[in-house]
Amino acid sequence: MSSTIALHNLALAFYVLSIVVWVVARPIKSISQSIAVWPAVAGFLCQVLQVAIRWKQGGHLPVTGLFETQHFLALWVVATALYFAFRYWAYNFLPAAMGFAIAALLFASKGPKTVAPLTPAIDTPYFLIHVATSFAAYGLFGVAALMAIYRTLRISGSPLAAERRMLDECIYFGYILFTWAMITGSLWAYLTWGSYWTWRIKGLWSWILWFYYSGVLHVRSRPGWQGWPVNVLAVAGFVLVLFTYLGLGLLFKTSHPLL
Amino acid sequence: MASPEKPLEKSLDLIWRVATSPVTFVVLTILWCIDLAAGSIAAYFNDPQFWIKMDSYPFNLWLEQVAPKTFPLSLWVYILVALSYLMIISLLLCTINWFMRRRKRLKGLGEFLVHLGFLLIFAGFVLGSALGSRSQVNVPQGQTAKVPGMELDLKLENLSVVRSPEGRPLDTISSVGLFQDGVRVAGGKIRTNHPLIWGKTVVYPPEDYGAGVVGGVLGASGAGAVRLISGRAVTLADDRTLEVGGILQRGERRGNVLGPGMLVVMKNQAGRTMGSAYLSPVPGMPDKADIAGVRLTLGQLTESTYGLFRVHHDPGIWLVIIGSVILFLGTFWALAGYLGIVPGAAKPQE
Repeated sequence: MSSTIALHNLALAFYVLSIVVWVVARPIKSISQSIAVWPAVAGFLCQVLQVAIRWKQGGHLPVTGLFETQHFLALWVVATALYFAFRYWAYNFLPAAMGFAIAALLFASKGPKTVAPLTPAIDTPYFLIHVATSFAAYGLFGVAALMAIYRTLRISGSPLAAERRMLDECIYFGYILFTWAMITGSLWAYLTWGSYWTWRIKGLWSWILWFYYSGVLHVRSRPGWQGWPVNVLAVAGFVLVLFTYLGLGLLFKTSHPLL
Repeated sequence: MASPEKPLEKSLDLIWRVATSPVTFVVLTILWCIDLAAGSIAAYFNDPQFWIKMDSYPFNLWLEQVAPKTFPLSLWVYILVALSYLMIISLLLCTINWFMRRRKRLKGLGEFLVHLGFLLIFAGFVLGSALGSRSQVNVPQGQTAKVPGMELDLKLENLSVVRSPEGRPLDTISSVGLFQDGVRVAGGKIRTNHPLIWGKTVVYPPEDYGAGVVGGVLGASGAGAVRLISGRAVTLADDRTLEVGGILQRGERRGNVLGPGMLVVMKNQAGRTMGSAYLSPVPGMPDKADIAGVRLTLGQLTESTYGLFRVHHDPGIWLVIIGSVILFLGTFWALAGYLGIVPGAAKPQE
């Protein structure tokens, strides 16, 4: 376990370093801000290694508990930011994505770090796919919200078409992943609780989220919704994600506890 | 000069365009989300057990029997139902419209499959809500009990508890058999995440289990000793039946009634209840009762290992499964279209 904690701390340090490098390189014309990518890559590799070790130790995809789910979330956020950096040269987006990943990893630190065996209720591939795709989708929706803020403030430094493409990819891929999460979650609920549809508050709000992003997908290509409306929808969507994930877990007794 | 049909054609065209517009669907979706969000929170704060109670009924039964009693707190559920149907109509028209316009090309096929899959899931949900049933049945080990509301019997052959190295119960493994008209139609071992599935009927692992009262031996005037076990009716000489209506375990209390004990119910040939009485060996509790002229005297309670099983029957489940598969394939096709591997729907341009 100590190796995974060390890798967790190392990943955190690399993400902080990435922001520092970006800030330091910004006023210096002879240094490209693209060098901030490399600490992010190093942190990402630390996280991948950490996930691989936990997977080997636990014998299952490590997506149970706060520590592992937050790592998974951060992994997707950083992977998306790196994809944007290499594909669209969106280096200005790195600090925001790193900030998001750092917040997720700090939150992860609050959870138990031991590799726990699966209890009978979650010892099913449906659970693992459900959680993995949920957090991947949450990560992409989060990146979409950050990109929308960048677009609104006009600080991305990327061409408008690239900005729009990045935002759209996050929402589109996030929605597809979330759809898979809903299908596997429903199947799991059918086998465990007796119905693919349950009137439990977490499930209901997940459907609200799914319908919300269904609506966003329907209007995102329409001329009247380009520009600021789709930015607002992306940010509001992530607020909904945060409430569904954190708000419900903190305010209500749910079937999906945070810890 | 315009022909008289033209205004009508224009109006119909406008109605069709509004009905098949994605914006109509989005507006309905927003209203649906707002209603469910507000209603779900209000319901929770009014009664934190609201959802658990709702889950124990098929939805239509809940709407018919429970919702009117909690009105106006259940108003949002009625609104939700109305909005759901409007959303589905909008989705159906959009899908038909797509099929009429674009069926010769594969462009947008992924999105079409997603819509079709969702429509099938909804149809399955409506069918399951209207015709499905959910029952609980208490089965003593080695015994067979009738599943209420279904023409089925459930036998619990064996129940064992899986424990952690510290002795904490983790799971149960139950060997069960499902019988229809005396013929075993399904059976096997069930545990968490591995229920017994027989077509549209599913038997889930026990919600509760343990050693406890499962019935008792009674003396009945004119019939002698009667051995009653939960889930099985005993027929008396005049075709009246006796059965266990409920059980309280040791230390349990319902109002003024203390456990252990059992509620004995007498029914006539037509299955109508003629009377009932709670019998218990606890001092101060009745151990004798007269029901419809029959004197019942409690001899002793029978204790055994028992399991409280849930049995669900959902006639819409196959539509839901087919719809889910289509929806799942649709997302793959849509993804491939988005990535340019197959013809895809339009992407936004700035």
